[in-house]
Amino acid sequence: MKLVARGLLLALVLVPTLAGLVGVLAPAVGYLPVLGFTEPSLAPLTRVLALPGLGQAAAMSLAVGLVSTTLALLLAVAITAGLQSRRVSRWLERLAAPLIAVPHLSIAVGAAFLLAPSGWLVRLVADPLDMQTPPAFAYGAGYDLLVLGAVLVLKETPFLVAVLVAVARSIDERRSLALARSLGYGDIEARLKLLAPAWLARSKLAIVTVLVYGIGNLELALVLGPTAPPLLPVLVLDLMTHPDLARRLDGAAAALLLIATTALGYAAYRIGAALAGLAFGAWLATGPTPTLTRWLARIGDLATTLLLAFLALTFVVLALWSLAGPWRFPDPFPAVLHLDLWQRRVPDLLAHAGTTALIAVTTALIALAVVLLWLETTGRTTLPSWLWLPLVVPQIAFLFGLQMLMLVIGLGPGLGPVILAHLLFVLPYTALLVADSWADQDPRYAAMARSLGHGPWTTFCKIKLPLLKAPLALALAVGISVSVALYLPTLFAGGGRVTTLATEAVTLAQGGDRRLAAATGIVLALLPAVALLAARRLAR
Amino acid sequence: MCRAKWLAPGALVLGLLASEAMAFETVREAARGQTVYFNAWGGSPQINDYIAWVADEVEDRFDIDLVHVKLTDTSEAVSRVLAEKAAGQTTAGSVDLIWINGENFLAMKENDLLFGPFAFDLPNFELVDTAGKPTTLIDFTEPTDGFESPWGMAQFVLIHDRATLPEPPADLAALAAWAAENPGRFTFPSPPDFIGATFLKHVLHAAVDDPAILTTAPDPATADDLLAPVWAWLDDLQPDLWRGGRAFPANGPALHQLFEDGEVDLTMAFNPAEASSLVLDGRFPATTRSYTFADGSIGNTHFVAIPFNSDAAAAARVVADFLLSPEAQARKQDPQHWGDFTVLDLDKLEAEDRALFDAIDLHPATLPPDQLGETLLEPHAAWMDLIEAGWRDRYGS
Amino acid sequence: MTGLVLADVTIRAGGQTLLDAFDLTVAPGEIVTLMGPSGAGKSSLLAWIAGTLPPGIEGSGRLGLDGRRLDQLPPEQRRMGLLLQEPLLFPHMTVAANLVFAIPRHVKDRKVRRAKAEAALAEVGLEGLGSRDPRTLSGGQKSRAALARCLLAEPEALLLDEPFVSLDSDLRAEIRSFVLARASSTGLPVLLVTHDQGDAEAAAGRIVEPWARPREAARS
Repeated sequence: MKLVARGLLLALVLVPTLAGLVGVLAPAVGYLPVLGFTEPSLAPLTRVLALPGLGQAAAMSLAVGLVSTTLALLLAVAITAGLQSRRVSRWLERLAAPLIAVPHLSIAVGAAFLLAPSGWLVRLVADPLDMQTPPAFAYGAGYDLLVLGAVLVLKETPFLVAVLVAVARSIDERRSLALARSLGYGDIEARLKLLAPAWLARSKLAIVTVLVYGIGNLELALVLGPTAPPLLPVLVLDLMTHPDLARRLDGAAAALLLIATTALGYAAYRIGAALAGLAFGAWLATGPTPTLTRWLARIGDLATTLLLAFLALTFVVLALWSLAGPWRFPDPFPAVLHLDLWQRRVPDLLAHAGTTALIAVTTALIALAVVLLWLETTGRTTLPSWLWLPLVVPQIAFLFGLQMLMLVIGLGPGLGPVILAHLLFVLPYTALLVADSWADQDPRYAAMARSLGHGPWTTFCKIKLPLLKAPLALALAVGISVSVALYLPTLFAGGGRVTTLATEAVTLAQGGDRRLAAATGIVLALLPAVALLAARRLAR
Repeated sequence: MCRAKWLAPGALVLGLLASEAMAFETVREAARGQTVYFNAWGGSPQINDYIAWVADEVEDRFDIDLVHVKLTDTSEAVSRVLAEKAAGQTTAGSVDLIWINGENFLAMKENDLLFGPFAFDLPNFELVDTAGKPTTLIDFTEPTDGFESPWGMAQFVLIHDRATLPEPPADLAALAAWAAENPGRFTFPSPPDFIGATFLKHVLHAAVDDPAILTTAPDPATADDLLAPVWAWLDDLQPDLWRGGRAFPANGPALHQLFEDGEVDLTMAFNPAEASSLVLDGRFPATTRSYTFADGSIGNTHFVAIPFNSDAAAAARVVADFLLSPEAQARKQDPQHWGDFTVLDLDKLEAEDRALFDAIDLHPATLPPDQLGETLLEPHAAWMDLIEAGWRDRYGS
Repeated sequence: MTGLVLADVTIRAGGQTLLDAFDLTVAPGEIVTLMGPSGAGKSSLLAWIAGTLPPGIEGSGRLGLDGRRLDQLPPEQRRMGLLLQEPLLFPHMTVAANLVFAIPRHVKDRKVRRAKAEAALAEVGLEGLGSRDPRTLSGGQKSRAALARCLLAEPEALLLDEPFVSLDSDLRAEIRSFVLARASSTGLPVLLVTHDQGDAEAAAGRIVEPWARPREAARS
């Protein structure tokens, strides 16, 4: 049984990821037999390096990823240290789980409507400022990157807070705090100076996944990113889907460059962390600084309030657009609000929602089953670290190679392969959530059940599982949320035959009917919310 | 006897026609119960609704299950067929019918990824206006050779709001002048998007003296000189573009967004009736109108093709034939449903079929077929490679 | 040989030997008290007998019960009744469900099972408390419920691992005498493990001190 569990995990995660990487490495060095390229060569790489705008695309991706991750991390540390005033932190606690579950795409779609020069914010002030046409100033990629970065920070901060809080719980802070108090430090400053380094040291993996997503994500780059040149992942996609089939080799080479850029980002993060450590050391040496801490608290408060307000506004604007009749600039509100769009498109929305939910629930359940099987049969309490491989490599880099693998083993595109692709990304999160609570189980209950005459399977079903109901329900809800938000895996493994709310949202946000895009964004956010609510009820 | 002499060849022709009809009957029989995965761009809910109608019809009439696989880009399907060929998958391909033209068609044809030839044998093909619409046989300078069947006509049009811009620029020179006076109110999708690329083709046509040069691949020795005026014109235009030319909408629909939002005064489309659909949808104002450049606009045909490894080739052919039927073509031309112009020759139709077309209310925002003006032919693909690469170099980064 | 037989039992944990070549026989109806200081390995020995050793602890030796060889069997086939330091009533089940859970599978009828559970509850003075959440019971009630559950499983030997240690002193004597009385009335071999002298005296049986120094062992 142990071998089955181990084999399953290997087959579901390690093999596809490695195969995908090989499937992209080969064409990158010139090996793609179907098009007649059998001689290894550096030509694709040279061509890609000579692409106009490549440097800027890579630099922008790197910058957005690094800056958004750093900001989110700083904010998360501040929030976890209790830096926020009581009111704000109470709001945050209640919203933490739903915030994590809201898909990036929903926020991105709303942000695009909100912050464009003809967007809602400008429309609200257009009348008093007597604007007939939207401001036509020549702003460059910087503005797009700013919006993209804001969305990333908004999404990643709650996630990092959850990670830090979980890590903080495993560290006993009472003694450190007592010691610090006796030396004249406030609690918050004490946490920042004494405990935060430990938190960060134990959250490295989570931070890396945030950084990798920030640099390499495709869906946000498509919806919000600049266009001339676009961000690096979009360049990769353009090459991989170019009508001139020989450009596929260039696409693979560009994917390698994306991996290199991500590695560079990680190196920069480490260097930055080391430098920050030096500055931190200086701060440590200065003794208690209550004023500085209070100012940091105020800034943190402001930032959190702004982000929450931003989030609320994006959803309001989504709702408005989905109900809007004709709405042209400079009207602050649509002249007519009606349910026309919803009525017309409900069948389509329901169909897409159904597919999305089916994939998400199936994936989450399979992931849970595989993880539980592994934990139960191997007797270990931590899952192998290569489980995180799909999350520390840019998606587009290995999913392309995975397409090749699917064909080689004769697996046509469809619902099944999409679920398998989703598993790559859902398994690590499921494992993380389940392993902790699995390790915390009181083993004596199971021992008691066994000595009362029940075998391992009955003990597992009737004693272990029910006692883990709450964390398992949460793991399911998180698994569902992750799957619902996935874009690229559905695109590649579904061969276009599988339409989910995420794929629809990206297509529509790039230029379809805005009302339908808004409605799709709303429904997309509803699914994880429902899953979380259900998990909470189950946990009671 | 004279009559007998004519009878023989007549009988032969009738016999041939009859046998062709019979041959296609066997195809229809084979097609019963098959499922056709129709890979077609899915970015327009209107077109998606039309394809859904086609699916209903072919199910009722021919017992064919048509599944619309929505693509963001046709090259996705091309990649898939290519990947299947790479893996040696010569049957049960995942793509059965593909909406295609131009570069994508060329790529598939050159790499032997297509089934056929089949188009010329379709019963409804004889209704196609091959004489008046030569692009139904030649796709972007590449002869179709029957490997793809025509579906609709495209003509590049510009769209404006008569209320805010009553006298839109009639040609490229006027456009440059207007943009200089109204900076930031014009842009085009960034190549390689097909709308943006087509806009650039007009600039290319205006830059060369003899359009015949564009029908063959460019001569590397003279290409740079010939393209110089193109870059000069674009350089002049650049600072007057939306956002100072530092960003471009990604595709046609994104440009429509900008127009709808009032950020630009002109948008573009390949469908002379597209503006009408958007007006009927409530997105564009009722005063929207379409027009073409005075010195001609690019026109082409779009097609459907069948990949080599499809298992439902019979059903795909039946669907392609249905798409050519007067009923399907008329409904397609109606702006209430799509607005895409027909490939058929209305003179070849029966009276009752012709009436279907006459009954269509074209809607004021549509540019009627008789006002389309001169059609410019698509240049050879290699010219566009040069233009797209050069554009990327100069403005795309 | 009837009764519980341990032969040549060695328990090792983390490189240390907790018990070496230990022999013991507990006759049916006899209560044997194993005494030793905290951390000596008393719980580990009981866990080895029950078959529920946690990973990281190894045991070897021969185990027999009423002629059956047990040391190679999984815990559910050994028919050992366990009473541990905490009652460990399953928190997600009612008290009655806890007891029904222990009834062997050969009793098939659900009504019969429930009736047996109710009867067992009455026997230990917990009549009517079946539908309660175990967490709402007092310490003494929990101990009695745990005992009832343990006996319902029809064990062939009883292993008591300091089951009175979590009770406060006034309750302790009462529960202790109750449990020990019931235990000896079953006629099964009973092994009590404790570090408390009072427990040993109440058991009033043979006292074995495998971890004592030779001089002290000679005294018993």
